[in-house]
Amino acid sequence: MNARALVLVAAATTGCGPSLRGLVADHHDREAICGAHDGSSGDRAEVGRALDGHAGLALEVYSVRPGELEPLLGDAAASFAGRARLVRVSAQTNIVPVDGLAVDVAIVGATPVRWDALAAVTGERLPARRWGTTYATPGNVLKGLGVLFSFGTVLLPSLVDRPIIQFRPGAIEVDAPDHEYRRIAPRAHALYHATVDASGCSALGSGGSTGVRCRWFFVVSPAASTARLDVAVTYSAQRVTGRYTPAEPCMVARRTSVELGPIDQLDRVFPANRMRPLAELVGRVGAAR
Amino acid sequence: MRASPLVVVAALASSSAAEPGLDLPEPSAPAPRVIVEDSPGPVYYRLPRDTRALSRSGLGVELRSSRAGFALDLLGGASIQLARGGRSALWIEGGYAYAGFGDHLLALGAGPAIELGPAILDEAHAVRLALVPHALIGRCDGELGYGLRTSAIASFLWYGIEVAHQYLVVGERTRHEVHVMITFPMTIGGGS
Repeated sequence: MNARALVLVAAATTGCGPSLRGLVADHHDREAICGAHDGSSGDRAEVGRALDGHAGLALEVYSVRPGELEPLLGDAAASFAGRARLVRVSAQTNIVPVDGLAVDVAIVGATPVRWDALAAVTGERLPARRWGTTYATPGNVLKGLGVLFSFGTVLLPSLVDRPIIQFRPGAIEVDAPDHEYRRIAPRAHALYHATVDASGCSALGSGGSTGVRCRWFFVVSPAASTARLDVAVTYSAQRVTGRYTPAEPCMVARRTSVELGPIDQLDRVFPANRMRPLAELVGRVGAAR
Repeated sequence: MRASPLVVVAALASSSAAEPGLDLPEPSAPAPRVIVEDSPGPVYYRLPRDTRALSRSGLGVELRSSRAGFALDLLGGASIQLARGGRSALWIEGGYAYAGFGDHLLALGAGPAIELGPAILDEAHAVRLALVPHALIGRCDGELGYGLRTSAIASFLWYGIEVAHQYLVVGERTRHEVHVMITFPMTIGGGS
């Protein structure tokens, strides 16, 4: 039996686990996440700092120039610039030995690109939502349970046209189809698809390690002179239960706020559109935790 | 003039393809580093945690000589695994026990418990057997009473059954009773 096995056997029998500091030093991030999850807030802070170091989250924030909006908005690009700025945030992490890695960002005072935010800026009216039908109603769910618990026997009277249970559709409010948005709010439609379709995260890595590359767009009021970025990173690890039913994963969540300074001077913080590590931004630009 | 379906499809496809996008400069980023574990990962903290809260609310009967009375238990406590991921545990619980003969008792117990398969169920809903002696003290028929309730408990999903022998000393009298309870809901905290 080697030394590691002896340590684990001792830990299992005495109830004392391996040192969290040692686990993260050896890059056993999954194990450290569960140790921190079950431990104290101090454990979560210590492990979280180490995980941040492994993940090496890098960010870039870019303020879209009016000229870059012209292919989408034509002559309306200048008036858009007078009403709002479009800001893109890009992020990338290393590929780390965890089961889940989620990154989310927000710019304080800014709105993520949504139909209502874009229409407010372009000054367009949005098509009204409309009523559709759906069978996914609470009543039908209850009726479905009734069928399940009666082993289907309550449906038998339906065979002789005397139904006890009938599934009926309910009304549900749905968005107008995309072509309606294009017809009624063409500028918001163009901006929406150019930004929302390019937003989101894609996974990096495979074979038990994971990382992410993400992109978000925000609508920032021209009155906002400075930008503060709130960054949330969640690391997760699956429990090992030996059972078919998945257990709740262990999680360590981290939140960091970074003052990026004047929005119209983001080029100075991110010269040549270079992504910068979050740790560097916190140290050199300014942090508000 | 009518357009053939193929022409319509082609026109829709070309209008969709012609939809302009934002041509923004791509950010430059270093190639992501791949962090690997220095050795095969240990499994200790990832095993289900060793302490789970439990609560049992039960209704049943208490049999004393030839009489039977309504019984109610409101108990809470914890199941503490002897090792992470292990199936044996220490079951600790305490709470209020009422019997229709006029008994209002405080119960406090601890004993061994074991968790049985099947693996399709999670830890919180597995079959669990426990043997828990409880110390009892309170008022019985208006007098101070104390004693011991030795409970055999079986639980599964949100249900439990308890069969117990209860020995009470009330004044200068002693009683032997049988306590049978159906527990619902029986909750045992999950692994997180």
